[in-house]
Amino acid sequence: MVTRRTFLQGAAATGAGATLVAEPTLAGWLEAGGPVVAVVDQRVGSGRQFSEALRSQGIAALADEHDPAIVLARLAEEFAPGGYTVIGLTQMATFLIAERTGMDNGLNLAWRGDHRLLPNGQLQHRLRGRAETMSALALDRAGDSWAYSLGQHLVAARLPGGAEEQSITTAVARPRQQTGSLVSWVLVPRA
Amino acid sequence: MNNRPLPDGLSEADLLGGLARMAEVVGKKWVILEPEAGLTAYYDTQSTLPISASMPSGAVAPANTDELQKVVKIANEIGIPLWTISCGKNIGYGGPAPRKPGTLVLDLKRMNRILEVNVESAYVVVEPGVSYLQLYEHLQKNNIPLWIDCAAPAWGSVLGNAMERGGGYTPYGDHWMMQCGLEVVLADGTLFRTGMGAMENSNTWNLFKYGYGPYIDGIFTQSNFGIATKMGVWLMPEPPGVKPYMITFPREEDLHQIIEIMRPLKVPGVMQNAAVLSNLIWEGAISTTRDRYYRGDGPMPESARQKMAADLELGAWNMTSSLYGPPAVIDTLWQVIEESFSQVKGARIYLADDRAGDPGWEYRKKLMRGQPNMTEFSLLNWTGGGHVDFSPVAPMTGDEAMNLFNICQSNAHEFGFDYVAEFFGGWRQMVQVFMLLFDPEDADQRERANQLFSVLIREAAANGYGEYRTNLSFMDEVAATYDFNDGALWKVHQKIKRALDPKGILAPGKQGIWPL
Repeated sequence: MVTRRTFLQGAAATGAGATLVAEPTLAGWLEAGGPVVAVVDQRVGSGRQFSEALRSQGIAALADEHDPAIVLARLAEEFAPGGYTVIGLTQMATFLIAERTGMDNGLNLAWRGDHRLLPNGQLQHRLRGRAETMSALALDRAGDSWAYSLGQHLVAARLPGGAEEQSITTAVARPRQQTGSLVSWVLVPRA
Repeated sequence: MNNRPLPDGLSEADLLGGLARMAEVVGKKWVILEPEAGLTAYYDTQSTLPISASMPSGAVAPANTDELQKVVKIANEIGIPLWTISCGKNIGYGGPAPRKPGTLVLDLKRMNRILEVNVESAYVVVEPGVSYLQLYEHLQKNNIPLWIDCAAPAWGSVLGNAMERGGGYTPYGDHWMMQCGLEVVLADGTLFRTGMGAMENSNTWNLFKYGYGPYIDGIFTQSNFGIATKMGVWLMPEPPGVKPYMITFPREEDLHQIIEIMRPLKVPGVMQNAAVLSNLIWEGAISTTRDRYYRGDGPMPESARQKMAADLELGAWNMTSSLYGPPAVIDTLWQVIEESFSQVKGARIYLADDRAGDPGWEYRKKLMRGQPNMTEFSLLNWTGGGHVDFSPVAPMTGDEAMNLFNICQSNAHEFGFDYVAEFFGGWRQMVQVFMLLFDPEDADQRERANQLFSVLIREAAANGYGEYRTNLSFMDEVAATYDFNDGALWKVHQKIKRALDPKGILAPGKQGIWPL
């Protein structure tokens, strides 16, 4: 069982580039009773898929609307006692606000994926993390259901992620579920 | 292997020795040295230059003025340069990052007390870490009938924005004008108060700006001569009535006529607050995404812009402003404004209850009532989050507005970017903020944005327009355009710098003022 302490130790060890002493996951964090907040742009189909995947694993999503101040206020409130983990699939502005707010409140970025519509209409996933995590996500085979797959697998992925980068361009012509580019992200407590 | 940039002339041992002493003052937790310990919060990830161009050596966060003085004295003794930030959220101008790599960030976010709220005389005294959102919520929670005037991002510092001479959207929108009374710490740790606050038992520090003798508050704005630790800020009493309005104008060339109508309304105060004139993409980007209208590279073509304007009921230009006061006064002023702008062919007027569900109009209405929000950040969804703001000042005339617009739009398009801008009508001048949006993950876009910005500085200066403020990366370039009498003003700045901060530890390079 992953306790809050081992989760934080794992995060610290990875961040410092040392050998991992624990390999925390959001699922483990949840199991340990650690609260997880999700922020998802549910105006787009991909966001709704992501929310559904999180909900199936016991994580409720906070809707990201046009005014990220709502998110900012909620996150600041949630972060105040410390020890929260935040997962998101949002547009860029909300990600930037959440990342800055998180850093001010003792969180570090542990995962980032950019999911961009290319001029040719295809969808490109640019991911930074562990090779095994990226492989498990299988976004190249997920097609229009990529956000559901991402939501499912990110919860099980070991975090913080590594520094490897991977770029996947999906073969589907144009994702029906998405307009605009999205960012997936996870913020975890600093040790 | 540690890649920490070091200040000029200091070894890592010198720096770490100084930081150890600072840690004894502020506590170990508040001296931040490693990225995984939170140093990444002080990086500028949205600029045209790589993070390394402004990477700090560390950060230190004192909790009060006494700790701050002790930290500054240690820095001065050892020669550690300090870059002061309040909330550090002014991302388009560099955010929390220092001008020069290796500078230690002096983060005042923990100094976030609202020290006084005077309801009768309508002012507050705040520390640097107080944000707009914090002050607004304090007033709301305590049912205090005073309005704040906020910049567009809610997380900005009340004191910090005024020190940078930023602006807002109510009649109290000139933030420096509404400042009254400063407390300042100098590089040697000396603490003093300006104006009436120089008297030990003054009861008018935050009521009368000028005091007795030289009025020096202004030299601490946009400068590196001292560190402001307290500020009095005048607030607006809640007015008996408010009438926000939005007027859309269909054609880009309407800009000339709009500005010619605006000036005679602004100078005598018929238009009471900042008249904000945003272009189509600025206003549209709040509520839609670029790929809905255009998925290609380069600037969005005219046909796509026209489709977006039609879909969103926006004009090539969109003016938002508001009237304040007793209903009879508002009604009288509104007649003049409505008649004046209706002269522009195709102008469409929207009032408070119109445009239901339009997030652009909603956030504008909030800002004009001093209600902080973050909606304007939605602009960063347009391309990928990178942005630098180009903010030249020009006379408020139609000819100058068209000239400035043409310089910025033509160059933006030539370099492959959208023109995303708004004009702020001031008392007699206007400021055009061109938000240069780019994808910071794309090295080519970064480079083009960097080049474009320099071209704009030069072309604007050749036409008599100087920037009122700029991003870290361009502070020297903009300072060089202030060239009257061989740059005499910046030589005066250097003399003041030498007198007040002889070791040059405070914010080296701020606004192009470097230690000798």
